[in-house]
Amino acid sequence: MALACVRLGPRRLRPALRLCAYATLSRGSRPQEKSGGPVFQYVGEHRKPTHKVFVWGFSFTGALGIPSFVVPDSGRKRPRKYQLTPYRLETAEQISSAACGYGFTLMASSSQDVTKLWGMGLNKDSQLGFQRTQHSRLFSMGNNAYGQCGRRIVDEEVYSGSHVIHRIKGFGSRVVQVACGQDHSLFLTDTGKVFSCGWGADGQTGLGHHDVSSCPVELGGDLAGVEVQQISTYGDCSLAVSRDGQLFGWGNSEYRQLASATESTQMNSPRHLPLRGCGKVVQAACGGTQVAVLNEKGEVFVWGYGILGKGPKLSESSTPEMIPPTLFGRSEFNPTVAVVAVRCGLSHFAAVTDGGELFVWGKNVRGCLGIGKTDDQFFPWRVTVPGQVVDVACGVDHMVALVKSIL
Amino acid sequence: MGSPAVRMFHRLEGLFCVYKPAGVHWKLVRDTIETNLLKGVNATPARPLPHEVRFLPSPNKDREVAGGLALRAASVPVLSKHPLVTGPEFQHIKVGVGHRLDVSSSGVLVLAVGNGNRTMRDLYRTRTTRDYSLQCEFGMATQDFTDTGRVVERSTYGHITREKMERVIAMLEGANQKALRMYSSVDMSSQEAYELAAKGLLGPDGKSVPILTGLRCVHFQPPNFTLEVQCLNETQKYLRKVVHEMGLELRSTAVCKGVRRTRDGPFTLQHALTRHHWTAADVAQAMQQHRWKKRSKGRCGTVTDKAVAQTPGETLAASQEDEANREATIAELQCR
Repeated sequence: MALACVRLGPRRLRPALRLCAYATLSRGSRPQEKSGGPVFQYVGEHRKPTHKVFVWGFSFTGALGIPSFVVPDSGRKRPRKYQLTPYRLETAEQISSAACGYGFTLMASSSQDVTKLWGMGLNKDSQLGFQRTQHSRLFSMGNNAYGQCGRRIVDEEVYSGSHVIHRIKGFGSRVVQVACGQDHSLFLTDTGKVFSCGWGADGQTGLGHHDVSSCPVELGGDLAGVEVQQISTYGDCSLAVSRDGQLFGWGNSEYRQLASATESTQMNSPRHLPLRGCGKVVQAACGGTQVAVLNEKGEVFVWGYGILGKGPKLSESSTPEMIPPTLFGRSEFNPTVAVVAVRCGLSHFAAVTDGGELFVWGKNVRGCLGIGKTDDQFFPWRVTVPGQVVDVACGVDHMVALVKSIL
Repeated sequence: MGSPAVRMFHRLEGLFCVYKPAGVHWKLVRDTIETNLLKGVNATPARPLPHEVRFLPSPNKDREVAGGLALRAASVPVLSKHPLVTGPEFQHIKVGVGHRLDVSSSGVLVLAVGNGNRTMRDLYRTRTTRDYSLQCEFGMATQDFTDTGRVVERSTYGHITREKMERVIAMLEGANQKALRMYSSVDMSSQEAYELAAKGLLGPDGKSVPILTGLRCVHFQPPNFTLEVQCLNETQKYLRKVVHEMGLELRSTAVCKGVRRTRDGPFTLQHALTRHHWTAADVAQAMQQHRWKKRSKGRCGTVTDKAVAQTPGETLAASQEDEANREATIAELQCR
């Protein structure tokens, strides 16, 4: 049985069919006849999925990284202010992680011996820079008016056009996670300790006082002796998840984010938040006025103020409310769908399921949800992305998704 | 009240389903059923002919009657009411078809007789889904997406694993779930939309694009695989196209060898009448069973597409009533 196998690369189109022999084909030819006509091979058996980056949201800040949206490169094109659906961003290297700020994006790509950092968007305070780092050194750049970069505050320092990239030292062990709030920063080391620096007027530094701190200082309070596995902050409220599934919070509580531990509007020292009915907490995400946590069963709980994800009637809650798993795709055909990651923007949420689907809900600030319309979304809605979503980063008015192709 | 034929006609009113074999047009099935029902109705024993009194000339020539014929009264049957003169009592029964099946597909085909047509229309106005089982094969792409069409392309399929198939199925399901929400006529920014979505009831009302509400692969052995699909507003050609597109997503090609509908609303393969049971008696029995099932489902209070399990007591009562009715029908047919 001689078959003519034509090997093709993955991206090339089929060769001209005039070259192929379709000699004996007539209407209703039997499929058992394998002779006649070549057999195409599009993909080999050991093909690995490709990794891509998709961006959407407000493009005039340059945060999406596509210059033709702001300054069209052809006479026919018009500037595109809002990119309402995911758009592929061509990157020179494979991006391993991404983070979004207000009007700018930072992406990191790691190759064999160097890790590169790519930035796009607003650069008014020199928050973007080009640098090379080798494992476990921590650098910061940008606005240091409140010491959030972890270096000494210089009065009347000019931040735009500044080349200052400060290497932060003095942690004692490797820093595994960094979370940046509006005017403060949190650092998590691999021993489970949390350090913070920056503005503390709402107690978001958690150091027990309401002053500015320009050097990273370790947190105490209820976090003393607790091994933390994840930290999260966005506005003025901060959260930490410990390795045994407990949730700790500090900072601004004007929107009842920390209401389970305190009735006051600020807490300047970390306190344990007793959550009833949430189970073991695996991940927490803090937004501007709302909070979401994920437990080990893949259920998402939300509370705070704003569009929480349970319809337009629920606009504030001080106790955790579970979002029904049917909204994330669980049905009798698919009874085991679970959420694996939950992220927060300033006023919206994003959740990634184990099947690689991305769900978003919240206020649609300048098209940041990526659902094709500019209306607010009051319950989780799928974002159509060609591939499986691996990770997502939320900014105030734009989002970045790291996607793996299906095959 | 009426003749046995009229009583039989009124009993034949309701919904039932048949198993349409592949290769047969659905209209042929409907016409066959209509012919068989008419045969059954017209075969019921006719009412005995009415008699009337007629004055017939007397055969006796001995009697001498002055001025005229000798007549005698006789009760004779009215020949104008004889079935050979009037023809069969019923020449037309309204038989309607529910969701149609094309020629090469097979499976459950729902039919409605008489007033059952109205019931069927109301049933289809509420959202009902249909279950299909698709037999498919990798390696070929044809003109009409079946294995008997003109082959357009052949390709390898050695790289396809069950895991890759599951990923493609998850992606298709996600796209269809989104379509389900997008085509519903409810305002997305209302509380009602959230509540319907949380219960899983958000969906289109009436006509929309075909949407697959469920998709899974039940058998995978390259090159053959079997898919189970739950869908609404679909056509069988669309399902074959879905198989073709799934082949393209997997960077190969696929065709659909057979489409078989296993469920249409509350009717499943278990209730379907096969070729040899397309007679009036079997149809009446099937209708009766469906009526009982609907009544017991209404008593249980659940409104789902699939049949609800009956309690033993109700089943016993239902089967006893069924027995009685079946005996009555058979008795009527037997006495000629």
